[in-house]
Amino acid sequence: MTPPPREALIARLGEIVGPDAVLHRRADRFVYGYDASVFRGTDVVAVALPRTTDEVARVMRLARAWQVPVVARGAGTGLNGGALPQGECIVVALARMNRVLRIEPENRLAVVEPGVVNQDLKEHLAGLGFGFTYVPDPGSQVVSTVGGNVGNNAGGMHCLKYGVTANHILALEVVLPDGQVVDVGGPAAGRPGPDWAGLIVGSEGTLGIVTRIMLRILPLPETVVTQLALFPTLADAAETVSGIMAAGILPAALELLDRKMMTMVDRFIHVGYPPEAGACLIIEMDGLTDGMDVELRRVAEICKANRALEIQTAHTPQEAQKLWLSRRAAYGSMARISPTVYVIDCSVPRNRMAEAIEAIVAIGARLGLDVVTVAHAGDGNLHPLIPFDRKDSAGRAAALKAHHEIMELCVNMGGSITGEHGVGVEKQEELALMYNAAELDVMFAVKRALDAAHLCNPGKILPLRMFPPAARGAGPLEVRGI
Amino acid sequence: MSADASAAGQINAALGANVASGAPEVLARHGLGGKLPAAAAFPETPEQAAAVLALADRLGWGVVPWGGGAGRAAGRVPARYDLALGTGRLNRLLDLDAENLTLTAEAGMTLAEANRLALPHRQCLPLGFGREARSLGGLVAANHTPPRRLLHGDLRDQLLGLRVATADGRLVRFGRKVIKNVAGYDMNKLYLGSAGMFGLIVELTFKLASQPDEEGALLGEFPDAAGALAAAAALYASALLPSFLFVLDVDAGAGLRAALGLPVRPAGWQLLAGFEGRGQALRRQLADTRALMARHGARQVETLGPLPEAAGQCLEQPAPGGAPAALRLRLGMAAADLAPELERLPRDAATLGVAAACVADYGSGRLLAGLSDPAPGRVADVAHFISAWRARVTARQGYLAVQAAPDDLRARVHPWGDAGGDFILLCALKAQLDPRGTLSPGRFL
Repeated sequence: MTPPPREALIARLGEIVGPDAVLHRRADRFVYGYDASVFRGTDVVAVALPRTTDEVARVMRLARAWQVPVVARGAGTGLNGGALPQGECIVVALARMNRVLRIEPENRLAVVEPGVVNQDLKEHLAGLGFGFTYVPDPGSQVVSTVGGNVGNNAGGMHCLKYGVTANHILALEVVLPDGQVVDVGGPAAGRPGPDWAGLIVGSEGTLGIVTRIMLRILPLPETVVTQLALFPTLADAAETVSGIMAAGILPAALELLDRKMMTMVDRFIHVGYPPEAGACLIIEMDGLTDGMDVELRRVAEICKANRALEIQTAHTPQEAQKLWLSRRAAYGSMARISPTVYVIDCSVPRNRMAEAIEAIVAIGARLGLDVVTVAHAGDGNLHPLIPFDRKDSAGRAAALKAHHEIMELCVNMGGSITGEHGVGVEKQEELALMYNAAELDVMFAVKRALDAAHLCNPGKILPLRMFPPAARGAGPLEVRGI
Repeated sequence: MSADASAAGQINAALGANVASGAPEVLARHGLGGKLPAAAAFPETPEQAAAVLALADRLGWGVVPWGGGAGRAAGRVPARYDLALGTGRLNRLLDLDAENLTLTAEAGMTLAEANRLALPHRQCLPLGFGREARSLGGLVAANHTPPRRLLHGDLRDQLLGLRVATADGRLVRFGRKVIKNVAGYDMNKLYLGSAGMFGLIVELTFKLASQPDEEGALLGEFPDAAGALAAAAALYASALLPSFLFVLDVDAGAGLRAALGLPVRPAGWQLLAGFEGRGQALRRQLADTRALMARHGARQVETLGPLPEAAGQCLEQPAPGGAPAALRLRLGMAAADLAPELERLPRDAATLGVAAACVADYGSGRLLAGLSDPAPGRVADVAHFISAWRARVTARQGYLAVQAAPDDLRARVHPWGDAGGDFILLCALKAQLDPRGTLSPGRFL
């Protein structure tokens, strides 16, 4: 089928969402070829900014009738390139669907539109004074949308105790690729049949567009205590993580910075880490006030048994924020030294974390790259950070090669190619490191079942070779470059 | 083509192993609604399970996966039932990684066995009250709701990975034993609760929890529903961290009290709240909850230790008038909707001459109802009653699942409901993952 004239498509989109909600001039389109990843997308036909589910459904039906793919987009903070257009398509940007529709503390749930910013939802909940919050807290929470978090099954600092986004999503309203609007999941547990909402979370807009989200809210813990512990070596810090978990203690957060990361952070915000510190852990405990002192003593004993140099405990929320700043300043500290930082996401079994980080540093050294690591240590979820210069083609190639080798390493250690950032275009070939042909084929059956025509975010997640040529968009990543 | 008496022989010959039987007493144990399979197979390895499925798929047989048999009352009588494919011999431990708190086992292992193996490491798989005989594969295929989910989460939160024999006999593995294991589509979520419609689960990996140092529970007895439900709502809204929270009506409550060896009188509504932890924190939760119950009018509050398995049975399968229920319904709704519905359902059932005992799993939004066998002349009315209740709860994104029903009723009502988004996706995926309709044909689709 010959593609429709661009002008006709823009006009039809304008009829659906209103002319003010269609961006089609070159400069407007251009910015949608970017997101927070190190990758780049292509030009698009137009960007539609719908305000209602009905508008999304009508855009989808238009796309289906004219066989033009649709790419859903939240705030564009994803790191896997999943929201990047990879060929002639319509971008459906959900930023204007940003209403909090219902809060029901008595049912521990809230219903929101996908364009609600994660942090805005938390502040909205705090403002109501019910004592409830929405837990998932990806690093991008001040800008990333709940819809984007759902699309990528985003994680955060508090996954260890509370789980990733999927664990907090109760139900979804989804516009399927055929334009049907369906509700899946619900407020209660024990729903018969598969966990459809769970399957759609993390599917990166490849199975439909999520237009409404019912999520779990939880009572705020009675007490939160934040600590920072310094260790002479990475291995000591990693042993402490295993020791805490083995003792049956479940912290709310357990974050690790390696020596290089601490140096970067120190140069940025002047923490004043002692020179002998080779790694640090940020440990956050929450729960009932009663018995918390006992738990903190046990944590301190485990830290000391693993040669902790120092344990700082925050006594006020302000002090806690200061301790957290070491972690939260990590990406910012890297941005000061390099125009581009490749944030890598992978996970390994918790007890192999130190070994993995050392091997990752070695991979970087071999390729002439200086790798710095920060980790959600309790989950074994590592974020190696690779500064590079995107203007230097050799540097770009080295960064991509390092990424691939790190993925191989993690899979060989029994880990995963992604902990919380998703697959997108970044890891679609690496997915084959984890799954064989039969497994990928069964996964592809999910895509075929719901989007046989490849209209929703085509050519993403699964290896490109599995898609029909027309759905491969701009081609393989190594051809497109970064 | 349906299988005949030689089916077991065909399987054994194809596999070169004695895994299938056509013995009448074996087949009798695998009947579904009066229908018997032509053979029952009990593979000893995942590869054998896959080979049996490949053969059945090629020959056009209808296959019903079979764990411990707990789900036999769910679903309709299969349209084709040639083979029962049991996981009873797939019961090996594959990996217990105490340092990473994970367990990988074959699907036929019982929950009791998994917990027996984890206990020396002071860990547990918190899917029940203790030593349940249900198979791990069966629990996952049924998306069993763990009673202690308020503290430990749902099965979706515990399940890290699985290995499945597909309808056409391929072995595939999804997920990993790391906590954040999802790459690509989260296939665990697809097989969870799929009742064996997309494949036979042969291995599973779970996250383990630490064995609680201490457990305690309180059973408050209230003169009316309002007090018990208001206390449950207050506890649910508080900063306290119960592991379970059940409200039982008079009939269900009497069953639980009897199972716990407590005097059945006075006959009131019961609120059961459980806690785990250590020392000071546990004592404070019990004290605060006791006071909260008293404030809401509890006439007496009993302190209990860890609950016996029999208590779990009373909570999941309330027995009207003390007799096992012929009809068991599970309804899901927002927690606050449970209060009115818990009183209304038995009232509605009574107009049909059917007795009902009900339990509200408050923290899960589940209403579990056990109903007596309807009189033969009332079956159509009861079917209408179920449909009307399903419409009521699905209008608010809830659900109604028929967990067990007499055969004449089973034929009249869909076990899960055949409208809405869940059903649309179920049909779409079934067409892709089991195009020949080999697995459990007609039971749920």
